[in-house]
Amino acid sequence: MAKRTESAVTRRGFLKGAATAAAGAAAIGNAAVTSAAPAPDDRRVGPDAAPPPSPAQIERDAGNARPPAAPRPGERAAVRPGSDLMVQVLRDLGVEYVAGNPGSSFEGLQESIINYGTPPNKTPEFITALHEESAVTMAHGYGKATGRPMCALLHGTIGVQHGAMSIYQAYYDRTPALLIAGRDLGFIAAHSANDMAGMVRSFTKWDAQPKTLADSLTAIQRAYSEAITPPCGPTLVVVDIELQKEEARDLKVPAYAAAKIQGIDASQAREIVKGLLDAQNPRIAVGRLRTPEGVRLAVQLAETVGASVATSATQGPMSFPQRHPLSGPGASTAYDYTLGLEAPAAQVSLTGPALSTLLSRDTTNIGFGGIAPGVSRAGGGAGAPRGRTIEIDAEASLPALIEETRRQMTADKRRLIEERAGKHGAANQQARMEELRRALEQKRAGWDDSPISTARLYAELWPLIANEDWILSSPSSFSGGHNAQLWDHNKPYSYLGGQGAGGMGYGAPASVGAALAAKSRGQIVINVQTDGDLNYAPGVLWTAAHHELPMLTVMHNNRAWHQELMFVEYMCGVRGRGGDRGHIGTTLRNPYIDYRQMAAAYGMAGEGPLTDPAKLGAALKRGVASVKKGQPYLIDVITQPR
Amino acid sequence: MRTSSRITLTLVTGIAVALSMVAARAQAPAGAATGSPTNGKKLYEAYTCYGCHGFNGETGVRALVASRSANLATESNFIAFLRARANVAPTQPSTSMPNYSAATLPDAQAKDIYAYIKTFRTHAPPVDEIPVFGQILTEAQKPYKR
Repeated sequence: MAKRTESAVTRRGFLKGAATAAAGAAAIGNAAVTSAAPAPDDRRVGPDAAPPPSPAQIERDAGNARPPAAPRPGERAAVRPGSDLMVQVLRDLGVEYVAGNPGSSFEGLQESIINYGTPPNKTPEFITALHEESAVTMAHGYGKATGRPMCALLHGTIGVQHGAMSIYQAYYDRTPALLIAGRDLGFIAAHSANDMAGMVRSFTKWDAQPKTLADSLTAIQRAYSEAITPPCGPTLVVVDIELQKEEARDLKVPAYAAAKIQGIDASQAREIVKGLLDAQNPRIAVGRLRTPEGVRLAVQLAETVGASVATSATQGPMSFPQRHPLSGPGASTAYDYTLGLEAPAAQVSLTGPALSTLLSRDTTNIGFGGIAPGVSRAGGGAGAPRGRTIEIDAEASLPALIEETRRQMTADKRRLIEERAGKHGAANQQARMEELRRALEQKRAGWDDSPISTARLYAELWPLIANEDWILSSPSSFSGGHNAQLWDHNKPYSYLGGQGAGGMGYGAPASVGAALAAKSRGQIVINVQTDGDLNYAPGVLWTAAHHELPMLTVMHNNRAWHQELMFVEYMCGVRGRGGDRGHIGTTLRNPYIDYRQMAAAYGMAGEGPLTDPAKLGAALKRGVASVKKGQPYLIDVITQPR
Repeated sequence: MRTSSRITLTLVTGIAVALSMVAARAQAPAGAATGSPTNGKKLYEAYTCYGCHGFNGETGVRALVASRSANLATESNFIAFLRARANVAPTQPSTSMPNYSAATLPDAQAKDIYAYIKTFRTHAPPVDEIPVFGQILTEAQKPYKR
């Protein structure tokens, strides 16, 4: 049954359609339907009705759909369906999960995911999503946690449009994701389009609508490759239902050629390494790299040259470990050579290609802010490089830099570097402890007050997870960003950062995506969840419960879209006509939303609402214990606004 | 976040204007509050003061507890500050301190809010009496592990 048909058809129309179907079924029996289109008057099922069901849909709803002709009676319709090969491609690529909200346009592919191979439904495993926006954002969160694409399925035109906002957000966030949209031209006309990807082409990196099964397989491989090649981003393959159901016979799965990502050339490497090794006090600024391997290489380079390091690990994923001894201002801030790795620097910055380099592929691009030249990027960007920028992927350049460092290294330099690194380590640790003590002095404010302070929420959490392998998956800016001062972000995936394009409805589904990554890696996920954000698509809590994901959700429940409340309050003041109505349209009161009950409704354990700060620590302890056992947990905490 | 630099500029300008106005006015006895703190509590919440200052005056972006701001030194200073806040059309959303005109928030109500603010006291224990903070400091002193 295709989805969302009932909601678009009135009850009267539905009954009328059913009667037509029954009559048609009685008349034609098992014969092929050649022309059962209703008369023009029959198409009117109400002033706001959708088109009536197609003949094929009527047949299917009435149970008269016939399987494709089998080679011999009793044999399966397809011995080796095309979608089995598509799943084999995903398996070969190591795609762990495919999230989808079931839709008839990919029923063949879904059947292959859950039944093909030994064991079936494993690499990839089908993850049940309750909304395409959630499915795509799961892939977004997974991509940020691992640097690898997860797959999301979209059902026809309606699925692509449901997923569109999340696709945009992942694109803006330069996060790899592999999207597959099913297309069925012969079933429900409204669910198909000639150019399915056209609706989201302006914010996908690459797309294809292959015409043959063989082309479908190579398209999925290329989509994966494009997604992980900088600038990383979501890619989309539209797969016709006929290709999914086609008998593949002896068609072979093509070999995958791994993406080749260009790094700097030898002469550039020589020049940069000379700068680093000749300097008395070099510095490396590390922004967001692509994968954990990039982080490992950045650490190796910094240790080899003994540079102090500026990290962005408290702003987002894939950066230098926050508590590495070289991380911090170092023993002296008189830097005489600075290298930026996806970050601005005084001398040289290695910065991968920007999304704007992709604009030429889409002539209909409408100029999204911050992506298209000439469109305001207020509030976006990480600052303009001050020195020379080489537009080249930093991560792909690191092996050449490390190799060149070995080549230029001398015993004298090595001795100086070891000495310098030791001084940096001591100075950074001292600076870190001083900063932490200053932070604690601030964070104690409102410690015993109710509603509970957001600083206390983060402070109470930290000792409970400090010795776990954790991921903070939700943006923390709306809840005070206290993790930046109180927690240590030492893994590439410690903090996954913001939404990408600032779109709400991100925290919970991104956390589920991160928890999918965490589940297979023995990690736990912390989701400090803002209340306004959760209400966009809370059904994702069910996905976490159903798949037993290690995700602790702690509500930052200030019962408002609080930033918007402050904006409106300011505007009230500007116009001078009432400052006591700013809550209208910006708060979640009368009635309050009970998130523990919401979680319970979706099958997730939890507690709250919690207003007594003295009870917070024990609740968090229960929550961490639960997720360590693989059971998601939600704690509703009534908090101060920020 | 999209507002930080503009907020800072607006805030600095607003404070400067407010202080100059304050200086020109006759000063009330320092800290004297003549309004009703009970009514002030209701107004503090209705006018969203808690949004930036917390329900307790301690948390949020601008703490009121133990503030040495001249804007809170006297009732008249406080009212002058409310009236002097930015009141031109901003080009971007702002989370800065709003303007509260006399038409919006009469002096009598402003005095009630001031009286309520003056009841704020901190109850936060010192850092070394918060066990969790001790654990955080201990964690921070551990050697870095890859």
